[in-house]
Amino acid sequence: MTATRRDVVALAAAVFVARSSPAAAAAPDDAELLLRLIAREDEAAAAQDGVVASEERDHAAALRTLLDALGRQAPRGPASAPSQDLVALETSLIEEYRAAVLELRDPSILKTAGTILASHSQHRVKARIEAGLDPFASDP
Amino acid sequence: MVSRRALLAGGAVALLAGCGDEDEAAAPRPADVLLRSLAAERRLAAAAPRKVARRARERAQRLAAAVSEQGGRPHDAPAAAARGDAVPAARAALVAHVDSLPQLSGDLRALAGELIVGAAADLAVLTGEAESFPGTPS
Repeated sequence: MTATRRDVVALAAAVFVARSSPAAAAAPDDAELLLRLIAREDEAAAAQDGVVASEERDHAAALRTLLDALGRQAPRGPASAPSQDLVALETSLIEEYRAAVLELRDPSILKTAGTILASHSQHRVKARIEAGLDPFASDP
Repeated sequence: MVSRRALLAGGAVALLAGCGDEDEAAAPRPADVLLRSLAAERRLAAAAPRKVARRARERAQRLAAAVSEQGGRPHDAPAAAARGDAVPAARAALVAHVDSLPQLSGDLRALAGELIVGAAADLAVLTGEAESFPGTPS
């Protein structure tokens, strides 16, 4: 039996769909995770000031770019938020990212989340030092 | 002469061939991924001052155990022979851990997350600074 041109084109189209579908299926999950992380970064930026707040905004901007690529948009963050204990805030962000990296699927999103996780670990060290605490307390 | 039909069929076959095998062929074994992180932590342990060195050794021990559990040989990750500069060694360890994330899953990815937190903290202590995106490959 000889394959017709229509068969071959249909086969190619089916393969393309098959190759595309895992990413398409993963996209909504990653998008939801990104929305959650962006909301946490916006809140953290609003609750702090100075260099750390600026870096939280950098994180949110990077995550928004990734979210845009998935065809979704995040709402604007709050202009201000109640100040919080910085060590506790950074610890909660670290836990958020540690949970997120277990679920994220897209490799580039995953690596970006990994670098932001590292940044929050550094922020926590800085906050601990400024509070006169052991910079490594309870770290893994 | 190659017919148009043969070209189309060849293209479809090439697309098919690239479909299933691409990820499988490109995906390294978890033990090999962990070995890269282990080698980086061993270099940091050799280069860093005492407290950071101890933390790097602890991470290396966890990695060595994980390598063994995955059927690899921890001795395949070379120990650094001489003291070097701790800051680049800490950066390299952090990059290795971040790079490993997409190549690991489940408990091993959770381990990579913990290693990122630990290595990033060490880098912050060594440099006295925090950065927006530490661990980004340069």
